[in-house]
Amino acid sequence: MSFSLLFEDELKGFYKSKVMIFLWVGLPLMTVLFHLWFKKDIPFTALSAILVSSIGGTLAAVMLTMSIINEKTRHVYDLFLIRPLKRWNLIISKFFAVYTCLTIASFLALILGLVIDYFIMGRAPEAVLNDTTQSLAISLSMMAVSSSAGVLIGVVAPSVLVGAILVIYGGNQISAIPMLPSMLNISTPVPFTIILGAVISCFLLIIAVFLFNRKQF
Amino acid sequence: MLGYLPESVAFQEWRTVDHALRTFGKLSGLEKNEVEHRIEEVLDLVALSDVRNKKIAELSAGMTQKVGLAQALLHNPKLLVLDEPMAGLDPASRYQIKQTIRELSKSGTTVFFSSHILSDVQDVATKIGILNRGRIMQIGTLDELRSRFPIKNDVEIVLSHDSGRWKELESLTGVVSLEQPAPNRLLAHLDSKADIDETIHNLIKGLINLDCRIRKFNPVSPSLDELYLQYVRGDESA
Repeated sequence: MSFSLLFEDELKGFYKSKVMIFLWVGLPLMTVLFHLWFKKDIPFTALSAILVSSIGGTLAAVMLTMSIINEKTRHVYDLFLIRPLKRWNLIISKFFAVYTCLTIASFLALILGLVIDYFIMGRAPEAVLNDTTQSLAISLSMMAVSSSAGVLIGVVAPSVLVGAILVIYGGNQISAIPMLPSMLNISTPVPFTIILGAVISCFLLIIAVFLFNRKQF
Repeated sequence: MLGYLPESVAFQEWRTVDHALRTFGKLSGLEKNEVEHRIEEVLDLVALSDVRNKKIAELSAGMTQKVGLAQALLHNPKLLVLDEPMAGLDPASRYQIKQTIRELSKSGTTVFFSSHILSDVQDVATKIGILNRGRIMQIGTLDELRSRFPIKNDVEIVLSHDSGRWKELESLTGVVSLEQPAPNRLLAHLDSKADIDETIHNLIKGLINLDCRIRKFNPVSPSLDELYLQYVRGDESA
């Protein structure tokens, strides 16, 4: 009950935020502009995937870190913690709310890429679909890792400045790990990418929850 | 479950008053229809019904504090803990929060609050605890706290008619000095070694004989601020 309520709340808070508006509208728009700039060198679908995972993932991680540090320092959690609710609900609901928004933004950008590729390049749907599945798996895995890193950094960082530095540099580096199966030319990289992304995300979130549970507010 | 208002109450910036109260109501275990009913009641109590759909970030500090009080009251707690509920508030908001505390107290809620504004404590509290360096030094009603110190030997006299001849009483036995801090107001400092009752009796008789009409005559009681200082000084010298 508490988790679903907080998840719904955080979703309401995030989907209307300026960062999310950029992801909903700005990312697909940027993809179109990049595509026009590079002409037809890169398929639109691949370009969408790169942009969504690099910019979207970093933005989401920064947003999560800032949100947690801000709420921590302003003592927003005081009013929640005096009520019968498990502490982990607060940060995990935030993670899933942002990740849900990111997933929708990714689908929007990729669908836009698919449609444009199909009409402009006239590619066969099977080939496009194959590219898309791999792109989507990499994007979502990278975003899961960077978002969970954002949560962890938000919990441990003592100030907004430290949090921002850590999440921009550290978060971005860690989020590249799910790309390894594709870079190592494994024949079926998608399952490995998803598993790697899920394992690293869970690990980071477990550490974040452990530290958040021990934190004094 | 208790109700709690921290000293610096803060909410997520995107929450409206209604949204915040709805979430805290549900987290406190209230049913959906009960939440709606209680939100209306508490907003009415703290006079915030007209800002129900506004974002909390857009409200003044006083109004945010009142939203904090509203969330603490939502689930009808029997014990309410308020940490500096009136700090940083304008006089109107302070007055209103004091009224709310009085009403809650009348309805059977135990309100436990801390404050550095001792005049507010004096206005509202039925029982006062004095804390110094994290240690409770005294607990009691205001009268009980006053009674633990010897009565001050100052007497305030308000005159409805001042003949101006009261100065003649300065030489009265037991009177150390007699001064006029404001028109028609006298302040008599009495000698603690003399018989206080006898001195007061002679003072009243003397004023009447000197053609002064007395409207009010009362010993000066120490305020809570003075009592606090007395207790703290006593504790530090011990």
